[in-house]
Amino acid sequence: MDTQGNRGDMYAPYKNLRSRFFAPAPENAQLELEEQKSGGEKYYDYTPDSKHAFKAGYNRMVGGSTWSWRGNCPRFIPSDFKLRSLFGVGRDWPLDYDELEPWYCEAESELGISGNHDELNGLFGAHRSKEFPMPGIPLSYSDEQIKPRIDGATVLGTRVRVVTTPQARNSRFYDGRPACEGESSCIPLCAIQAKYNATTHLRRVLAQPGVELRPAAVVTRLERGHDGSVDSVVYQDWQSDDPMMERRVRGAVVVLAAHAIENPKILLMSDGLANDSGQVGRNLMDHVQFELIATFPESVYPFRGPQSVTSIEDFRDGDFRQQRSAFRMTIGNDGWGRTGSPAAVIGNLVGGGTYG
Amino acid sequence: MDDETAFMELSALLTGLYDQLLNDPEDRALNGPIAKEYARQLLGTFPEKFPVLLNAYKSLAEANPKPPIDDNLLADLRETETFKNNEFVAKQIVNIWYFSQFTAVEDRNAPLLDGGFFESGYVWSVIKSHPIGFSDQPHGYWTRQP
Repeated sequence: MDTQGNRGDMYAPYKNLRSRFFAPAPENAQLELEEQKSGGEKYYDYTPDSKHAFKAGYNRMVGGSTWSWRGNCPRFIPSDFKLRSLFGVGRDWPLDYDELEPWYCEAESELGISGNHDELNGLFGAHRSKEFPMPGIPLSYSDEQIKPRIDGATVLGTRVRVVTTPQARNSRFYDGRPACEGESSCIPLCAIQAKYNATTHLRRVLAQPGVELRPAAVVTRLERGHDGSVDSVVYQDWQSDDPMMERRVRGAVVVLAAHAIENPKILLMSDGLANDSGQVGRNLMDHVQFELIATFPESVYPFRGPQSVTSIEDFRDGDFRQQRSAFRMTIGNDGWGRTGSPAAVIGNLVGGGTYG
Repeated sequence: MDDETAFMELSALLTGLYDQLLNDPEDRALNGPIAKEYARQLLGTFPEKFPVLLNAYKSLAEANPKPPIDDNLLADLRETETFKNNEFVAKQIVNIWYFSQFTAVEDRNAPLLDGGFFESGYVWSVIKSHPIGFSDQPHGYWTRQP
């Protein structure tokens, strides 16, 4: 649904993408919406000479990247907040899991998280004071073949089990949105909004009198009033007749919630705002990940249901964190995923001259 | 042999979709309009190569007696210089039937051309799934073997 609650053509922005590869919406995880492509200089390629240059896409649109996220919502565990004091690496958070826990519950209620309480309550000490708003998403046929083969196995001294991933994906009608119908297009888009995206809250807010949404407004800086507090937002409307003209709105309260890239960018463009530490624009964190694929002894029929339902959470804590990071494993329901999609397989067959 | 028939037969030969495009009368009838549109798009994109490829097929398929439409006929077609010189078009015929998408040039970064029948692409039935982004089944259908 759009911000006015109309279903409309959810795929319209994606139909003319250059990065499409045999799908109406790209099979690549990251998208390039045509109007949002930058030029040759992509400013978050901060190490242009590095073979590991940071490259990530995001959706600069109303609702942002919540349109395209997978929707997985595992909580941090208590140790994650105390890496320095427990493992001698990184930094401790200024708050701990116990302090954040009630707010996790609030967030899970707002987003609409489905999950199985008994599977995850107490995971490495991460107690849950409330049940999930919705039961976990049913396992795919593929998961049901994998789970019994893995549950209880010991890998490198760790006993593993397959659990249902907590995810912002409805397992029943919730918050005016339908249950997942298994369209298998979570990334880049859930056409029925069974997966949460931020327009859910936006619609709620816009229903209030006196609330105005100004889309296509790119903030260029924040300005302080006489008392030193931020009271003005300067922006450019790129859809207007004069896109370079600076426009200004004032407010008693200004909330900057513009993503890990745009937040520091705006602050840095705002005369050193909130940067006494010198850390604004530094220490960007990303999902470090890689993909493993395998062949199952029998058909498991992927691409039916959500792109991922289950995970393995058992490697998320331990003394090893003194030397290396913890990790979690998402079990895909999309075949060979990014490595060998059906399109790639057929493309390779055809490219190699196999017909009939 | 008219172009429409030739295209259906050639498509079946290249894709292996014999039942869907030739043998099953209902499927063949349903695919007729789709084939017509695909042929129109391929002709528009490859105005010289597509007819040449089609004629190469016709010259083999119109033999008397008519040869069976099978792997032997495919092998004969692939041996012709015409096929070799226009094989890229043959690959797009496979792509358009399986994905309802094809490209105009042999370049991985080439923009995709939309055949217009994404939901009818045969890749979905091959993998026993559904068109990505389109599911008409109830919540939880994915727990069951197709």
